[in-house]
Amino acid sequence: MTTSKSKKQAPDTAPVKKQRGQWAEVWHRLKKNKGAMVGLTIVVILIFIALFSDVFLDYDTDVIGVNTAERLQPPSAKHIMGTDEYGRDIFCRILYGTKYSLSVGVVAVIIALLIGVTLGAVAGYAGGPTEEVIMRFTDIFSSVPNMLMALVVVAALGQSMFNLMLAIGITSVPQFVRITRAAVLTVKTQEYVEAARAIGLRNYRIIFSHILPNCLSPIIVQTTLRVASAIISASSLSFLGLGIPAPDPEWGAMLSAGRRFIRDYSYMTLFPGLAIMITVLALNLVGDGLRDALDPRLKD
Amino acid sequence: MYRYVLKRLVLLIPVLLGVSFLVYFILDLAPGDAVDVLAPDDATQEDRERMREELGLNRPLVIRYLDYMSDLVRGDMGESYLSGQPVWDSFIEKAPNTLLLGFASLVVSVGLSLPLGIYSANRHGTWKDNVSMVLALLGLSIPNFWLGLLLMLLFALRLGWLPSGGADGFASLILPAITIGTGMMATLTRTTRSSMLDVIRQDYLRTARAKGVSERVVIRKHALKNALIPIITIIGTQLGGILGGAVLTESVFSWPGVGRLIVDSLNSRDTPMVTGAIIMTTMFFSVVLLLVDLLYAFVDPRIKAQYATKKGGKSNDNKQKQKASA
Amino acid sequence: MKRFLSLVLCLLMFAGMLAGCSSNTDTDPSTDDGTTTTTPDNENNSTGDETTPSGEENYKKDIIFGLGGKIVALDPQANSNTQHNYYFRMVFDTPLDFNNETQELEPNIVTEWSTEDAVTYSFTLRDDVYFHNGEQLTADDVKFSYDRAPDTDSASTLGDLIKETRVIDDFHFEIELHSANVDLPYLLTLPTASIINREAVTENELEGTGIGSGPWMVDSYEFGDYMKLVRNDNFWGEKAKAETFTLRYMPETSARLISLETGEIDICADPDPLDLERVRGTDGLELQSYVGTSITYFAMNYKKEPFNDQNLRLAMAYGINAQELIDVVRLGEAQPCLSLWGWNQYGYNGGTTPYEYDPEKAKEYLAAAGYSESNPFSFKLSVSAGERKSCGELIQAQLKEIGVNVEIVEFDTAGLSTSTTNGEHEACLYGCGMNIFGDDSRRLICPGTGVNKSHYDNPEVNELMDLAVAELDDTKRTEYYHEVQQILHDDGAYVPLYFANGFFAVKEGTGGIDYYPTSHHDMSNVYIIEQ
Repeated sequence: MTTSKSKKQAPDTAPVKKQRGQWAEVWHRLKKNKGAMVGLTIVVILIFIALFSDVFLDYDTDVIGVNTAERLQPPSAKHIMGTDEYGRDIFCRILYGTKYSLSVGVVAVIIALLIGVTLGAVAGYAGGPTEEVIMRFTDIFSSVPNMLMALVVVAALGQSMFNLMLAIGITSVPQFVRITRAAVLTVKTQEYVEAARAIGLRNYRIIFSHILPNCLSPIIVQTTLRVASAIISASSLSFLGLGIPAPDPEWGAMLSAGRRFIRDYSYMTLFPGLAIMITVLALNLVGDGLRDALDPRLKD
Repeated sequence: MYRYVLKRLVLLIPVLLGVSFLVYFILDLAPGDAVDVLAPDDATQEDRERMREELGLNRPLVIRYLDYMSDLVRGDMGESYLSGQPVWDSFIEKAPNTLLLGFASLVVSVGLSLPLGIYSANRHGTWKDNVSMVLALLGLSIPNFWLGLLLMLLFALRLGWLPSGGADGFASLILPAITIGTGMMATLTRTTRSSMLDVIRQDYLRTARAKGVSERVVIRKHALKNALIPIITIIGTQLGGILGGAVLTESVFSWPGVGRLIVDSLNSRDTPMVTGAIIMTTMFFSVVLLLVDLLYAFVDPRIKAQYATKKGGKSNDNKQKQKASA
Repeated sequence: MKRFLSLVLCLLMFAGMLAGCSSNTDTDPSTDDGTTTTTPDNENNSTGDETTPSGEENYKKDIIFGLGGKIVALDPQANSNTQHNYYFRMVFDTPLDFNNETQELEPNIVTEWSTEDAVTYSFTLRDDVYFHNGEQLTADDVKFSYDRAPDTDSASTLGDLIKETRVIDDFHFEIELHSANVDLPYLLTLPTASIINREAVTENELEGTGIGSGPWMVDSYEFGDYMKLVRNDNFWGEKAKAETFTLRYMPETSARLISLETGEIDICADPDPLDLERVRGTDGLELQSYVGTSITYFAMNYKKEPFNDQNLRLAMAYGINAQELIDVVRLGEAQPCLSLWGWNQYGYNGGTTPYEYDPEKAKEYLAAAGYSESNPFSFKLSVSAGERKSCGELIQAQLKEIGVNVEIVEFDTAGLSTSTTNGEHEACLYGCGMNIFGDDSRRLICPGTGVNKSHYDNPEVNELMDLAVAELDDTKRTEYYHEVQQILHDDGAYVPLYFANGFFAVKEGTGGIDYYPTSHHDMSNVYIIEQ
């Protein structure tokens, strides 16, 4: 079905296509999704900003340097997004904050990914009592609503960037466990796994070299979408006063600080809010695009 | 079927035990206890010790937990450290508000998502489809407390049409419901669209079209009701999550619900209140999920057949599907 | 068939939702009195029916007061924070009253009091005071209240002072203290000294503690949400002018003010300083203000590294620009705070002991402590969210000017309270409202209490405080207190930052609120005149 479909849409590339690998095929489909490409471009730009913000901004002066003479200024040529209550340039802070927001999202999901995929793979592959135990624990974690779980964890561990990542990461673990397990279950019985087992490969090698690579697509999609929601969760926790400690310019914390000024200086909440929105939307577009590209059946 | 329900309910017990254990122990990691909140500025160390003793906080954590659990299994959720009121009373005072908000948000969400999803599916592949889907995604991408603040700024302050907070009648429900509803929209729109797409291509719809039935009737009479099953699932999952998920919106709009109760109690280290409220929320969530699964089985004979023969694990797969899309 | 069923089920679900909506909105507990209005329009239309003409003026019948703290206790001996005190002052009577205008003690349910030695005090009660359950208030209830005090959460300080409360007859009693304390009459004006009813409390400890003898009675409440009071028509003194008074918990400051603007509430406690101009400029609203005695201070842990070094403490004292904090964080709405005494507190040594902002001097002290540019000093500053966090961020920037690196550690209230009480912190920002009597500063500067966030313990100061509280001679007592303030200043125990000005945003025509600089206002006589 896939082949015929692709042929119909792009007949001139059909001969080349045959040599393309699975991932090239995915990329080819993704390229055709305008939304995903826009999202991807934004994400790439954001990563660029995050990586190089230290090159063009000086943390001490541009980002946290207080200048009370220029406080609460509306957007102007000098401060294109205005200044905050301490006279700090909001544009600089938002640029610099990319690093924090993205890294919270990414690290939180990496934590979830490491724990979740390992547990999920083990559960799916091992089966029996091991699976039962892992899945019951997963049930326990996932039956507490995510936001509440994260709240409790941050409140208990105290406020720091790492604890924030940990709290959000922990709440995302169950999804990864379930997805990985389900994927492993479908792949497990395939012939090449049987073959690997037959030639006496060790279990962990079978899992990591033979099973996991073949159930990557749902995990990748989930990862992208989870980064997006982790950024939202981080900003939500910041809003409740459990975010990254001052004076670091994390967007959620900026939003939370600007809330006090929303009536007269709404730009203080507007711009960080927009930054979060654009980032999350871009990630969601990419995630959605990936989902369609990896599973073309869904799209058509 | 009954055995299945019974099994699910029995399985709920270790889950709830686990949740209570988890929450109770994690909370204990937090610096400070309820006495630090209760004690006035001029309290001496002896005063604090005495207050700890009265609340039983001077005992080791494990003993406190076992004590709490032995009450809990007898249906007693204990008393708030802060107010001395039974936890159950406080919870049941707030729960209707949150449920009300949840239903209202669902109405908003369903009211926006179904038409948008159907529209999108109908114009599948066109720019209109793309725009609709981006619109739905936008709902998911906006931090909803931010949206809440913007809505409040516009409708309560600039225009003065709606109240800015509190739970006073229908008008005060509108803004928080929109805030939460738009957040739930994305998943629901997507599900509506894809299940409509699935159904639209079925043979009997081609037949209907071929018979000359108008497109509108095709959609309304034939396609929609077949596409409903996955939609119901998503609705159920979201409803279940609302009890705990409305924390931020409740805080923005001063809505006296369970979310705010939990956040406030968390800040005052009111362990019995937080644990109790989370256990109740979890129970609600799990029961709704069970009901959704049953509903699912009820409307789809293939699944019903599975339940009859199934051996463990199936429920997880079902949940996983919902979770993945949630 | 199955498809049809699924449709029906879906419809049922919708119907359920709709039913859920409508039935719940109708029976919402906070609106069932039918008179609280949610929109300004409603209010204007219905004012005629709502108000009862009393004298020449039309007083608004139902007043709703939005406040930022939640009420979680009925018992006046169980809590002592601002929001509870609003309610306690309205519902309960204290033996004595403090007049904020004359700054004098006044009789309340106690008509006469006397003491020879500040150890034993005798009191005469009014004979026409009745509790809300109809019981007469007698010396026995006073004894009951104060005997109970030592084992309560918030009245234990008072209770611990008292050796014995003796009933002479129904309307006469004596209080004997463990040691001389000239401030007892002032302590008896605080809400923690409220008299509760023996019978009601013995019968039901949870509900009975909500029965007082004041001008208002508890009607209904939902802890953490609202508390509704109704006028006590049998009150012995001046009766309230409104009929109901609802204290509603609205934690978001901006949302609270918005509710006032849209007419959902009548009085908004503590609006954000940012919004004061708006309130002043809005027709139909009014701003009422008072100069508070609530001190915001920078406390350094005296007991451990690094601030056990006096040079470092003084470096902070001169390196922090308190005026900039006032200008930026409070937008000018605060008074400089020159010592650890409230400006109206007994023994205040006003203006003779300020730390002038002087970065050069601060650097000298830093150098004396052994720090330089190549060896910069850094420390952790513990703060809670909100205003104090803003102060922290600014102090962080100010101290950077003198080469000090500050790491801000943010806690929630409980976390900050614990870590600072246990002395885990290096420095913190904290605040406390000072009462009128001199000995109130003890909790800041003597060891053993939670609010001494510097863990300050200076034998000289302790001794002077002990001498002062037992001293009947005013001149001597004042001298002791002045001396204490001088020592604290030289030692660099704390850096007092400012007294925040307090504000209430109210509907035009609101009056009768007795503003206490401690922020524990008496709202018993609150009224709103309607045009």
